[in-house]
Amino acid sequence: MPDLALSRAGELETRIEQEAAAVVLPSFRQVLTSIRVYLLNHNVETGNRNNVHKFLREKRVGDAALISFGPEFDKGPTESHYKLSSKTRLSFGITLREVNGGCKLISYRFHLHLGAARGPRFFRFDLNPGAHSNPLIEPRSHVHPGSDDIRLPFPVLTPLELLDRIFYVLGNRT
Amino acid sequence: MPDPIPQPAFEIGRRLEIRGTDSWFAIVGPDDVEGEALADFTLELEATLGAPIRSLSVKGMPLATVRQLLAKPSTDTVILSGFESFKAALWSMWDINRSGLVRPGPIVLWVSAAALTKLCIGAPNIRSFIGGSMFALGPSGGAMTEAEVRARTKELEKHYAMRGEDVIERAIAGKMPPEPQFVEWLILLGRGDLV
Repeated sequence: MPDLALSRAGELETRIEQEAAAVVLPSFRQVLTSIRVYLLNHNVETGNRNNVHKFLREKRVGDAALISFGPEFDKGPTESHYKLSSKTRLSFGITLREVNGGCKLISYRFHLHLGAARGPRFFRFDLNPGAHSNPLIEPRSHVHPGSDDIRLPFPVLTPLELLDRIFYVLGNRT
Repeated sequence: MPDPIPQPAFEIGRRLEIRGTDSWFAIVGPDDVEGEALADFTLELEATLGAPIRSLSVKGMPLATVRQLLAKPSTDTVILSGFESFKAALWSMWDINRSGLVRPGPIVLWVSAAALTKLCIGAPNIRSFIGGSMFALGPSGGAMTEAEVRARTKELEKHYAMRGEDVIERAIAGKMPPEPQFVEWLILLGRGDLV
């Protein structure tokens, strides 16, 4: 692996770190509420019948908090997935830390399984909690385009910005 | 009076949108009606309606002041709370002066079950303003149960072939793999201090 490629990846990682630090979210309750209302509105728009009230879950420990929907790993359809269509499903987990009345992102994972006949089987957007030793292979913020082993750099987005891409850019590809 | 139907805040917000102007709602909150549930309800209603909502406690407030506050501005959605100490005579006074409370913007009365009963008896005309728009605040989802936490940690243990204790040890040693699931795992284990 050329040293220059690693060096460039390191520079990109620094920029990603700066992006992550710049993302400031409102209070935990506001973040949770905004996600719940976003999903409920999407349900109404599409006529889907996802049970958002049942499967959008939270856990708080001190100033750290987790928001999740669906299973930890996508190993096939489950009742707890958010279904976009009969073949397309989403699960996610977001961790946050409350700081001065707002929230900072610690990490997230959004796994969108696509039922498309062509193209990637899934997209997974990960924000890792910290840097990997090899940022060329695993940037802190990355997308898996249909393969667990491939990680391409991706901007650090807020949860709603990610849901916008999932529902209105990728989720229509069936 | 039939028991109000439980509805999550989002559904109440959608009904508010549909009924639009001049509408009156009565929402029965949880037992601790003057606790933080009102702040959560307001937040969720604001997110659903996409507009700021005024929350006013009328406890100890002269009716003339309530009328002034409702009139300026008169088009926003206002949640009125603080009815728990209302006696029959006060409800009756509100009922007699109800026309002064009428405004284009929706009014949501945030009450306990006991206060709603008193309203229905003491203020029959306000009760008729509310009509069928009387709901109990239903759950909007929320905190994971212990069983859910156990199921998730089990899923993680199986996937990574590790125990929770190992994850905690790694985190303390600063050797936790930099993956989102490990942060979630620590929070599920109650060790938010290590993330």
